[in-house]
Amino acid sequence: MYFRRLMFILLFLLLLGRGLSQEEEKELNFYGEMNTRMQVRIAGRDSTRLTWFRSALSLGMVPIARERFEGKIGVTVRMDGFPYPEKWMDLTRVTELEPVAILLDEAFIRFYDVLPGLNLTLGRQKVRWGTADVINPTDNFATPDYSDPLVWDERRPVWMAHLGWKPLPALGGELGIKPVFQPAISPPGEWFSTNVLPGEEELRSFLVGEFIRQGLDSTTAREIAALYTISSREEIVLPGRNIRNATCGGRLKGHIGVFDFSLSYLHGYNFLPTVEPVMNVDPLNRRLDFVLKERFLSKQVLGADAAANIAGVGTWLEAGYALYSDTAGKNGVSLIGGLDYSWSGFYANLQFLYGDFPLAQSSAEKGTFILGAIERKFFSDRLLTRIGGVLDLKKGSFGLTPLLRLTPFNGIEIEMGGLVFKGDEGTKFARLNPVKELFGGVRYRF
Amino acid sequence: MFNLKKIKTLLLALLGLVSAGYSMSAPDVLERLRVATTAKDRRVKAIMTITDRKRVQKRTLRLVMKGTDKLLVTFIEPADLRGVSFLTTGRDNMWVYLPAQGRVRRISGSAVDQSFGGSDFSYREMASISFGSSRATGAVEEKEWNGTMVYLINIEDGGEKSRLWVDRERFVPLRVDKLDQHGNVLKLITFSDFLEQDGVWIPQTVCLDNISRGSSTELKLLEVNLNTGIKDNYFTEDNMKRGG
Repeated sequence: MYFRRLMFILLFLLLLGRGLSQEEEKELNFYGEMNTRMQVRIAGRDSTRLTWFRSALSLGMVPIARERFEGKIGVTVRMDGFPYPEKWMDLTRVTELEPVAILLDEAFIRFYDVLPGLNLTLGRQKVRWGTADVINPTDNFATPDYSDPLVWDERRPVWMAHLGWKPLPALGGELGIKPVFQPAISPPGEWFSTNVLPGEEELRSFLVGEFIRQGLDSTTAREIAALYTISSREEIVLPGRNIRNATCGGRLKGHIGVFDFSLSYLHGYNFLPTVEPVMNVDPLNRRLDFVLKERFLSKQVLGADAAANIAGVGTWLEAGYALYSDTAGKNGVSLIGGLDYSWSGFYANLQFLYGDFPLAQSSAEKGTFILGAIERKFFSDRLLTRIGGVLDLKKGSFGLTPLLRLTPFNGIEIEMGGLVFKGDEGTKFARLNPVKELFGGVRYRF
Repeated sequence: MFNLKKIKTLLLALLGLVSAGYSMSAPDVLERLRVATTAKDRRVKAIMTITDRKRVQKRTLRLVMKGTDKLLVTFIEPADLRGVSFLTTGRDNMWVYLPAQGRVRRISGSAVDQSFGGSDFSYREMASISFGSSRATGAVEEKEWNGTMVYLINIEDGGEKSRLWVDRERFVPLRVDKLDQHGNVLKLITFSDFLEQDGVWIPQTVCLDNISRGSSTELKLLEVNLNTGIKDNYFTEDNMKRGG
């Protein structure tokens, strides 16, 4: 048995070596993108302010490109937001004045035809599953990046090992393992408050309520509550780093006639944490400790998707059934189905979502949304006009994203547009209600 | 060791001699064209020049073809299209890979008639550039065009009708008129600068005049490598992402 395993490993290395020794080399590839964008939140003459100011330079290259294997490396240098000096000394620190982040993008090596039809990719990569636009309930490897409020579908690459196999032209499969969990990235505080802790006043009011329930009159309850020392904190717990906590999954995919389909299974985690408030009241020492415990629930996702052309209309349906081992998670299905159509220079896209929308208020109850967009290009495709939006079907709150994109020269795009949310208290977009923004930006690809 | 394609060409040529004096049918002409112009596989680097009233745009492409129905096209330049790939394995199966989304998408029914990379070619026209899924209909006309004797036949591809001019000697396509429902010419495709390589005729220049739009697209082949041993399972998502 041991000998057979050893032989198998040797055979694998031999085949890998054969791939590496191929001589034909493709041309090297170097590419990049620079972009910068500013957003203004419209809120009356005195309150209108800049909420977003990001400039980024992304550089990528394919340093190895041979017939049987290739490598890819990408780096993004991003200047986020505004200068934040807190004291005079900070003015001497350029990092406080120009907050820069250096991000490692995709960085992998891919071996082609390790066995006939079998490709192996190792390193930071973006593995995307699913056929739907924007939201994909079956897509659980690459980490969502919600930091840009205008891009609802951005993902960060993650370190993983990925095997893709295509034994038949119409049928294939893939397996992936991601050893280290990476949570989703949230929007920056300048744009969207991520403070989830209750304030001291709120906690003291809670104490007053408790004392009144215990039989004290309101004046005494307030007096006693005022004597309490109140503390609050968050405690975020990431999944452990042992192998059994790795995210892993497989997918079978293919096409029959005009239908593309896939079936998938994944064992992984929610990208956003589930919060559990814990309140410790210590009457002896007159202390109230509030802890918000945040953890990422483990889940299994059974997924299926299909896409087809039906009577000239592009159609897709994608569903993922999440099964939680933790009682804090609620088992259930998320699904998205959509249509798109092109006519006389127009393109329209309409989707129905039952599940979670990235920027919406999260709750145990899933939302029902309609997502849509219509666009038209003019002047030999140099000007794109687009209006997109999302509507919370139950409560009627919504978001709109009009856009004008001009491409005066190849590689250069100038964008102008808006981002508008409307949502009353208790609706899915209630916390985004103040967002009425205009933006402008430039992108240059080379 | 006889090459199967050569035997097939020889047999068709003999058939042509035996049937001298008899007129060929439209399907025969189309089949002879496929034999004359189809390699087992080919890898091509091409420059696409799009000319409209206001500007001239250039794109560099890499095309990998097998037979008449499998085609993988990747844009190398310009920067805003770099890495965009188009795969077809037949008239009804077309996919596009957009690097910004990191995902491969099936091209929906109506979108097959959309512009391919901003050019005058549609996805459908790129997919049928080798006449693999075309069906010949009607009678054959023999006439002279630009000093060359040609067979003129009608072809149909997924409901789209065209007229095809075929060189009577070499059985290569010289011109295709894409027609609307009323028989008016919408687009005119001409094939020129033929090069014979390994018994296969390759048009090094394909020019499409978009009559309704008043623009044109020229596809010029720069490097052509035939019969390099490309396998069927080359036409995959991974190779779309890789860029052919």
